[in-house]
Amino acid sequence: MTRRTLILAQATCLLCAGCGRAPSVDIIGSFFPVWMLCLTIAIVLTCVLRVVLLRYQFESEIGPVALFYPSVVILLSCVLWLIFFR
Amino acid sequence: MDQETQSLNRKRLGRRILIGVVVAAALTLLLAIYQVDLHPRTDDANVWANYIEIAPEVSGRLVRLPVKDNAFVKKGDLLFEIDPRPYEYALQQALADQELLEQQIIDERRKIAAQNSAVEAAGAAVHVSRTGVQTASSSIDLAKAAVSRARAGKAAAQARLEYATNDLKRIQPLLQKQYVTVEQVDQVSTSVRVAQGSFDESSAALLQAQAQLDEAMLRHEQAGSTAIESQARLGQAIHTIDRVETLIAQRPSKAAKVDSARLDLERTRVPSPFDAYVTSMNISEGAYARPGSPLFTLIDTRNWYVIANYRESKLKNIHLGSHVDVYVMGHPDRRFGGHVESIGYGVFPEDGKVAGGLPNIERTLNWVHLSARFPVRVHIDDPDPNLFRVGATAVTVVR
Repeated sequence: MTRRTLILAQATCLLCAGCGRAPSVDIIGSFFPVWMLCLTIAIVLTCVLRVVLLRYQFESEIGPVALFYPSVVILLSCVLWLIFFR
Repeated sequence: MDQETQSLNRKRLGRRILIGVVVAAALTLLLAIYQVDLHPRTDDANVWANYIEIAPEVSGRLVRLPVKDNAFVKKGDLLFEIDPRPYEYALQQALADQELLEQQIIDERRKIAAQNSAVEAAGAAVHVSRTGVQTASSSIDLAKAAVSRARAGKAAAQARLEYATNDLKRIQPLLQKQYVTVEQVDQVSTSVRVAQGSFDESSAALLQAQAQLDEAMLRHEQAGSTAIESQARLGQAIHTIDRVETLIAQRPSKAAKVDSARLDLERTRVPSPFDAYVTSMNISEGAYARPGSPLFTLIDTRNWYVIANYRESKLKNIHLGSHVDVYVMGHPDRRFGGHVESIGYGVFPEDGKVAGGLPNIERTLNWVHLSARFPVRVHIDDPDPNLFRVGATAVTVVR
C-alpha cells in the first residue's frame, strides 16, 4: 500500500510538474505553513493504512507499532512535502 | 508446514517493511532538512515598493487636483496646481525691478557723461587761468620796462634841466656886460622852464609807470589765485563723477530674483516624478498647501520588492543576486521570479535600550535564544501590477 501511495504520489508529481504553489495555505484568513497540512494528511493516510492492515490482519506481523506508525507519518509527510512544496 | 512457512514469510515481510519504512522516513526527513537548509524560505515577508510623500514647495490654495485616491499616474502627469496668481505677480514685480535697474543705469551713464564734460570745462578753465598768469607776468615785465624807461626819461630830463640851469647861470652874468642879448637869456630861461616842465612830466611818468607796475603785480597775484581756484574746481569736478558700477553690481541680484520668482511660479504646478499609485489622498480642491507638509503619498511602481525577514542562521545560504521564488498570498498559485538585491545590515538589538544614561540589561537566565531576523530585499523581475500591493503577505524561497 505504501508503494502504491508512492507511485500515486509520483504520478501526481509528474502531473503537477512546474506548477508552483505557495508554501503556505490560506485557511479562513490565516496562512498556515504547508508542513502542517502535509502532517495532517499523513496522519489521516496512516489511519487509513492502519484500518487496511487490521483488515488483512497484518499489523501483528510488522513489529513494534510505536516505531512503525510514527515512521509512516514522517515518511508520508516528508514525501508529500518533497513532492509538492520542495 | 505450509502454513508455518507462510506465517514465517509474512513475518519476514513485516520485518522488511518496518525496516524499509524506518530507513525511508529517516532518509526523507534528512532530505527535507537538507532542502530547507539549502533553499531558505520564509513566510515572514511583505510586498514592498518605495514611496514618497508628495509635498508642495510653495504655499497657496489648490485650484486643480486632477488625481484621485488609488489612481495610477504616469510620469509628468499633473498631480495638483496651486493658485499661481501671487507668483505671477511676484514674477512681474521682479521683471519690473530688473527693467527699472536697466533704466537707472542708462540715466546714470548720461549723468556721468555730463559730469565728464564739466571736468573738461574745468580743465579748460585751469588752462585759461594759467594763460592769465602768464599774461600777468608779461605785463609785469612790460610795466617794469616802462618804469625803467620812465626812470631813464626822468634822468634825461634832469640832465637836460641841469644843463639848461647851468646854461642860464652861465649866461645871466654875461647880460650885464652886454655879451649876450636879453633874447638869448630869455631863450635859455625858457629852455630851463621847458626842461623843468619835461623833468616834472618825466617824474610823473615814472610815478605812473610804477603805479602800473604795482597794478600788474596785483593782477598777477589775482591771476594766480584764479588759477588755484580753477584747479580746485577741476579736482572737485573729478571727484563728483558718479559711478555706474554700484548699479551694474545689482544686475545679478535682480536676475536671481527673476529666476527665483519664475521657479516659484513653476512650482505651483506639481507633476508626478515617476509612474505611481496615489495613496492616502483625503483632500479636495481648495485645500491649503504649505511648503514641506505632505498632501498625499505616491507609490513608485517602477520597482517592486519583497522584504523577507530571514533568520540569521539562514543568511549564509543567501547570496546577492540569487534567484528567489516569490509567492504573493493574494494569489498563491502564481510564482514570481526575483533576485536578492541586498541584505540588511542592521536591526534594533534586543538589549539596545539605555535607561538613565546607562545600558539597560535584563537579568535573565535564558538558555534558549531566538534567532534574530534580518530583512532581505528581493527585487521582483516580473511583477504583476494587479497583484502587488505594498504590505501584502508574501512567501519567498531562495533558489
